[in-house]
Amino acid sequence: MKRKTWIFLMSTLIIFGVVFPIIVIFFWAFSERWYGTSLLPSKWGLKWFKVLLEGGDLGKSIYLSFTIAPLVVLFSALISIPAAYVVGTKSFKGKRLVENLVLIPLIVPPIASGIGLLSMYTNWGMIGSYWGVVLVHMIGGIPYMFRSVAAAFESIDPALEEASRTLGATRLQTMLKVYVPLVSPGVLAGSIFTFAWSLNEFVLTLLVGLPNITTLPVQIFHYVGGYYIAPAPASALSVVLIIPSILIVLLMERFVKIEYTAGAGLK
Amino acid sequence: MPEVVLEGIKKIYGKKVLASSIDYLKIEDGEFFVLLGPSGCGKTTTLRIIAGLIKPTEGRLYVGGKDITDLPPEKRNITMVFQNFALFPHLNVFENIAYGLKMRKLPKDEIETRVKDAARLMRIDQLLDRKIDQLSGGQQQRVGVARAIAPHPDIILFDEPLSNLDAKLREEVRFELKEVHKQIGTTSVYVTHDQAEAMVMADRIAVMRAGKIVQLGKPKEIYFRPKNLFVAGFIGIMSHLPVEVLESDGENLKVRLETGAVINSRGLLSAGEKGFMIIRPESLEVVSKESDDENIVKGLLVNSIFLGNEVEYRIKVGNEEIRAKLKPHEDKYKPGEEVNLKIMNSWVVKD
Amino acid sequence: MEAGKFERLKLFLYMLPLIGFYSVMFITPIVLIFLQSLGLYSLGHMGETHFTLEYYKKFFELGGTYMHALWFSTWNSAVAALIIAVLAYLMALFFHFIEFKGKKIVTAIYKIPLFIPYLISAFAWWTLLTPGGYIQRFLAWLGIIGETTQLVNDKFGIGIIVANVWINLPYMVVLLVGALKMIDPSIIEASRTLGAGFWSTVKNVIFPLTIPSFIAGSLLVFIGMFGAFSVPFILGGSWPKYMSITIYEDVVDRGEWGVGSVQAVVYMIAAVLIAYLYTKIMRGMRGGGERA
Repeated sequence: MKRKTWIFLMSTLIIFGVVFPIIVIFFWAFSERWYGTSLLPSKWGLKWFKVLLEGGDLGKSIYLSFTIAPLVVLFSALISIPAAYVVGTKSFKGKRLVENLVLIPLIVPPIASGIGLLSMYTNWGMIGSYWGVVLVHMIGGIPYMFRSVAAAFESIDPALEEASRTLGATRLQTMLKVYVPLVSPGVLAGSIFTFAWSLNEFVLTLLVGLPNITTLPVQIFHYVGGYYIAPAPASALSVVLIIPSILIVLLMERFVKIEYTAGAGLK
Repeated sequence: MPEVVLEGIKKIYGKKVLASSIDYLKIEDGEFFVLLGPSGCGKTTTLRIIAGLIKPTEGRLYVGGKDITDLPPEKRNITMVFQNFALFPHLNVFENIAYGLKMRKLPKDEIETRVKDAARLMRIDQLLDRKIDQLSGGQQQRVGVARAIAPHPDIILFDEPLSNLDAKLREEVRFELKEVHKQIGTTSVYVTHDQAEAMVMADRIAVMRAGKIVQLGKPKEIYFRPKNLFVAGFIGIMSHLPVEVLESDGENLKVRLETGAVINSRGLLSAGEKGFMIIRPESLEVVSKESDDENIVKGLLVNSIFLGNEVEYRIKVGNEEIRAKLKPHEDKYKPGEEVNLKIMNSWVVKD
Repeated sequence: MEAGKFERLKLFLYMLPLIGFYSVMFITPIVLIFLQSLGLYSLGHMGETHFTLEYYKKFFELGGTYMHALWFSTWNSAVAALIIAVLAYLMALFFHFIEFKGKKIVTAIYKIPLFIPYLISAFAWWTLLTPGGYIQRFLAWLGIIGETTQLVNDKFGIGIIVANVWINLPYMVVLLVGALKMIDPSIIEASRTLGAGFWSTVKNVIFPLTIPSFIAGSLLVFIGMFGAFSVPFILGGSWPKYMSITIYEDVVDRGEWGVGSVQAVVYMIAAVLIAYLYTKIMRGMRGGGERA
C-alpha cells in the first residue's frame, strides 16, 4: 500500500508537471475574454483561430511549416543515407572523426552560426527565400537522420551481405532485399526526428527567413517577441504546433525505441 | 543452526505459469545441496526465492527456524555466486570481496583479514589489486566465490557458477569448490543443469521438473534407484525396455521383455504391473552365443562407434535400441551380427 | 576486402554530399565569423577590412556588458543543469526499477516537452510565472513570495531556469534510463545479497557506473541551455542578459557585427570543448565498461 501511494504520487507529479503548462496554453487559445483576476477565462470560443485565419497568418504559416518539414526530411535523407552506409558498414581512417564532426552542428548554438549564415544569405540574395530556409533546417536535421541510419546500418551483420551474394543475388538485389528492409526502421526514426526538428526550428528561420517565410514558430514570435506579449493569439498558433508534436511523441513510442534513437541522435 | 526450510513455496507468473512449487524441503545445516534440472525447471527461481530476489506467491521460508519470507535480500545474510560472475566493474578485486563486509560496517582491520582469508582460500591472494577486466573467467569466478564467502553468510547460493567457463576449467573449479565447502562448512545450495557437476559436489540432489521436485536423495541413490524415466534419463546415459513384472519379492523382480526373455531385475513395482527397465550402458556385457547364463537377451548389432578408450554398441532388442559400452579388446562383432547381451544390473520404473 | 585507391575514392564519393553540404552551410559561416571577429572580413558588408583586436578588447572589458552576459548565461545554465541532474536521476531510477500499471503512459507523457518548440515552452512558462499567472499567484497565496514579485524577466533569471529545466529534463532522463539499462541486473542483485539496501546499492554501485553518462548528459544539456535563444528572450530581463540575446541585439538591432562575432566565437569554442569532452567520456565508457 505504501509503495503504491508512492508510485501514484510520483506518476501524478510527472504527468501534472508536463501537462499543466500545456493545458494553460489551451486555455489561452480557446479564451475569448480572460480578465487578470479570474481563475479561468470568462468566455470560451474559437475567436482567435478565426482572427488568425481571416488575417491569412494561420493558413500561410501552416502551409510553410508543413511543406518545409517534409522537404527537409527528404533532402536530409538523400544526403545522409550514402554517408551513413559508408560509416555504418565500412571501416576506414577518419571514420570516427566523421561521426563526431556530424555532432557539432547540434551542439553549436544556432544563434552563433546563424549570424554567419545571415551575412552569406544577404550576399547571395537569399534572405526570405523558401529554399534558403529548407537548407538551414537541414543543418540540424541531417545529424539526427545520419545517426539513426548509421546505427541501423551498423546493426546489420556483414555476413548477411556475403550470404546474399553467395546465394546468387546481384549487388542491386542485395541492396533491395537485405539492406532496404533492415535499414528502413532507422530511416523512419531519423525522419520523425528530422521532421520534428524542422517544425520547431526557430532561430535560423528568424534570421534568414524574414520577412516572407513566417513558419509557425516565427509567427508565434510576432506575438510574444515584442515589448508586448499577446498570449491569446500566440497560444492559438501554439496549439496548431503542439498537437502534431504530441502525435510525434506517441508515434515514436509506438514504432521506434526513443531511448535508443534519442541517444543515437546525439552520440 | 542455519538449516533452510521451504514450506509450500509457490511462484506463479501471470495466471498459470508455475515457476516453482515446493511442498516441503529441508536443507540441513552444512549440507551441500544441489538443485538439478533442465532449463526452465524452476531451479533458479527456487534459488532466487531463497536469496530474496523473488518474492514467492505463496508459502514460507525459514532459516534456522526464523521466518524470513518477508525480509529483503540485504537483511538475510545469504550470499550468492552468479553465473555471469556479476562482479562490480568499477571496483578492484579487494574492493569486490570487501563489499559485503563494508555493508556490514565491520572495522577496517577486520575487513582486511577477512578479505585476505577468503582470497587465500580461493587462491587469488596475488590478484587483490587487479581490476576486474584484467582477470580471466576462472579468476573472476574465484573472486565471485570469495566475495560470497567473506561475509560469513548463513547460506551461500550458487547459480550455475561454472557454466560460463570452458569444459576443462569447469572440472578443475568443481573440485576446488567442493574442497572449499569442506573447509568452511557453510550450508550451500547449488543450481546446475550439469549432472556430472551435481554428482561430484552434492551431499544431496533434488531433481526438478516443471517447478516441482521429482526426486530427492543422495547422488548414488538417484543414479541407481531413479524414480522414473525422466530422472534416469537426466542423470547419465541409459537405455530402457518396456517390461511386464511377473514376480515381485521385496525389491527383487522377475520381468518379461517384449521379446519374451525373462530377466531378474530390481524395482518397486508389484507383480502384474507394466513398466520400463532402465539399463546403464556399463552394466551390459556381450557374451558368446553359446552362453546359457541367466539374464540374457538377444539383439542385433546395428552400429558400433569407436570412442578411444571404449566402444559404444547400438543394439536392437525387439523394437527398441539400447546402448552398451565395451572395452576396445572386446570389440569383436560387426554390424548386422546377432549378439547375446547379459544384463548385469537394471532397475524398473513405472513411467 | 582490400581498401584500394579506387575503393577509398568510392567511399569518399558516398560521403561527398554530406561533406559538401556542411562545408558550405556550416564551416564557411564559422570561418567568416572568425575572420570578422579579428576584423579581417566584414559580415555586414561595410567595405574596408583590417586586422584588429578591438572587438575582443570590447568583449573582455571588465564589468562590461559582455562579461556580465557570459557570466550570467554560464551560472544560470549551470544551476538549471544541476537541478536537471538531480531530478532526472530520481526519475530515471523510478522508470528503470519500478514496474507499475500505466507505466507506458507515464513514460510517453514525460517525453512530450522534448518535442514542444522552445518558444512555446518559454511562452507557456511566462504565462504561468508572470504576475497574475497561476503559479505566481499560487506562491503568493502561500505567502512564499509577494504579490508583485517578479518570477519572469527578473535579474536572477528564475523563469529561465524553470523553463529550461522543464524543456531539458526529459532528455536527461532518456539518457540516464539508457545508462541504467546497460548495467547488468545481476550486479545489482549481487549488491543486494551482499547486504546493501536499494539506496546503498544506488550509492555504491549504480551511481559510480553511471557517472560517465551523467556527466556527458549534463554537458550536453548545459550547452543547449547556455546557447539557447527563445527561453532567455521571452523570460529574461533587461539586465543581465544571456549572451545569445546580446549577440542578436548587437547584430540585428545595431549592426555591430564585430563584437557579435566575438561572442559567437566564444560560443563555438565552448561547443567544441564540450563536444570533445563528451566524445572522450563516451569512448572511455565503451573501452572500460564493456565487460559489465
